[in-house]
Amino acid sequence: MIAPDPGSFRDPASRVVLDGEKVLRLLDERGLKGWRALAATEFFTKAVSDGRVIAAVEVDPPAGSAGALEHPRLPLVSYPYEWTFSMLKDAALLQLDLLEEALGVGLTVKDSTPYNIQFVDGRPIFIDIGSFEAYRKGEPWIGYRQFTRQYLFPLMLRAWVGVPFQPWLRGDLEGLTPSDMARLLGRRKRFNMGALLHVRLQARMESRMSDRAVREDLKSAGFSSDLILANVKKLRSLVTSLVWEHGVDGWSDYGSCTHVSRDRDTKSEFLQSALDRLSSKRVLDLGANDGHFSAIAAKTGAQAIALDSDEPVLDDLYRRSVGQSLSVILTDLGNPSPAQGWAGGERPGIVERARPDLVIAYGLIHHLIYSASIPPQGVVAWLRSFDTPVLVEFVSPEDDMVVKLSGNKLTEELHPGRTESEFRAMLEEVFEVVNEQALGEGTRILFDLEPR
Amino acid sequence: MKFGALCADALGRSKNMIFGYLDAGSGSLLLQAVIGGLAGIGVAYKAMRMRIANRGLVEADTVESEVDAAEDSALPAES
Repeated sequence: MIAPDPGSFRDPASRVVLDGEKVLRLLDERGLKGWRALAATEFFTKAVSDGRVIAAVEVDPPAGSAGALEHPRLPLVSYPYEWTFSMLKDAALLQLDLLEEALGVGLTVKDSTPYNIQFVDGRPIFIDIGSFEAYRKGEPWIGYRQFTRQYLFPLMLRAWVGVPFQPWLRGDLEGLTPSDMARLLGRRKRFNMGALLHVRLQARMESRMSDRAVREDLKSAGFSSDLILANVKKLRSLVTSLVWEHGVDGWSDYGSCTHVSRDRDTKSEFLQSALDRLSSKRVLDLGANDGHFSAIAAKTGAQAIALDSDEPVLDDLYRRSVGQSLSVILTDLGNPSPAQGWAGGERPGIVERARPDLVIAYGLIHHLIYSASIPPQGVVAWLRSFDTPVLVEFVSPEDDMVVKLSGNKLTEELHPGRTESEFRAMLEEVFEVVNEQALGEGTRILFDLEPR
Repeated sequence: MKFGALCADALGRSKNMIFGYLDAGSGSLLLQAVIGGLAGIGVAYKAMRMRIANRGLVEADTVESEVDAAEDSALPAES
C-alpha cells in the first residue's frame, strides 16, 4: 500500500511515497521532464557514483503520475536541528557544489534546503532529485534566500556569535530571517563583506519590498547564470571561512573519567554478547558520547544511531564516522526532537524515525534521574516503550558520579526508586533480565533486558 | 536616493506573483545581481529602472480604468 511521505508535499512536480520498504518518487509532467534532463547528464551519473546524489531508477508509474522513480531507502532520516556544526557546513558546501555543477550542464537546483540532504556512512548526500530542473535563461537562483536562512545564517550564528543554531532551526523550520540575523549580529562583523551583503543588505531590501515581481525584470535586464556562479563562488568562500572553535566542553573529556576507562572493556563484551544473540540490525545508542559502543554495533553490520546532547563530542564523532554505518543525532533526551511542521507530522520525532531493534542506555539513566529529575519509574517505562531489547547501566546512589550530580540536591528532593533493589523490581515488572554484570566497585550493574 | 530605498520605490506597486512553490523574496532575488559584482550591479540598476517604467504603465492603466468606471457609473440609466 502506497503511503505519502509526510515531509514531501510542497513541490507538486515531485512527491515521495513509501510502498512498503520501497521509496518511490512520483512525478508530474514537469517533474518527469526535469528528471529526464537530469538523467541524461554525465554530471548526474558521476554525482551518484560519488555518493553525493541519491541513486534513482525509473519504474512504471502508478495511475495518476506521469513518471516514477525508485530510490534506495536511507538508513535514517535526520534533520538540520539534529546536526552538528560540521554536518551543516558539509551539507551547505555540497548544496553549493551541486548548484554550480548543475548550472554547468544547463540545469539548476530550484530550492536550497538542508532537508534535501541526508547523511549516509558519515557523508552528506543530496536526496531530492526533483529539485533539479532545466535552467531558464535569465532566471535568478530562486533558492538563494532559503540557502541563507537555513544554512548560512545558522552557521554564522555559531561561528560568529557563539550561539548554537539547533534550537533556532528546531523552533522555526524555515530558518533565521535576514532581519533576525542582522539583530543577532549586532555590531559584530561590521566590516565583513559577507555579513554586509547577505545579512544586512538582504534584511534591508527584504523589509522594503513586500511584492514578488522582480524575476521578470531581472530577466529583461540581462540577468545570467554567470551572476549565480559568482554568488556561489563567494558563498562557498564565506561558508568555508566559518569555523566553530570548540574546546573541551560538556562531556568532551568524558573518556578520561576513571569509571569510563575502567569499565569500557566489560561493557563492550556485554554489548557484543547481546549483538551476537540478537543479530540486531538497528541499534540506538542513547547517550552515545564518543560513539565507542555505536562503533562496535556498526562493525557487526548493524546501523548504529549515536544520540547525544553534547555537540563538541558528536561533531568529533561525525568527522570520524566516514565509512561507518553510524548516524549521528544531536538531541537532548530530556526533550528529544518532537514531531512538528505541517499538521504536526511533516517532521516526525526522532524516536519514530529511529525504529531500533536494540537500545543501549549505558551511562545514561543517572543523568536523567539526578540531572533532569525524571522519576526512575518514568525512565523504566520510557525504556520499555521502545518495545525492543535494552542494555541498561544502573548506577547506584553511592556511585561517585551520582554523588557529584546530586551534590546540590537534598535527599528529599530526589525521586524514590533509586536503590538497586527498587530499580531491579521496576525493571522485572516489564522486562525479563536475560543477563547482568556488576561493574568496577560494585556501584554499577549492566542489565540485558528483553520486553515481557 | 539610497539603494534600498530606490529598490523599494521601484518595486513598490507591482502586482503580486508567486514563483514556483518557494517564496524567493524580491529583495533576495535583486540582491543576487548586486552580489554578482559590477556587471550584476548594472543588471540590478536596469531592473530597477524597468520597475519604475512599469510602475508608470500600471498607474496609467489604473487611472484609465478608474476613469472609465467613473464615466460608466455617471451615465444615465436609460442610455
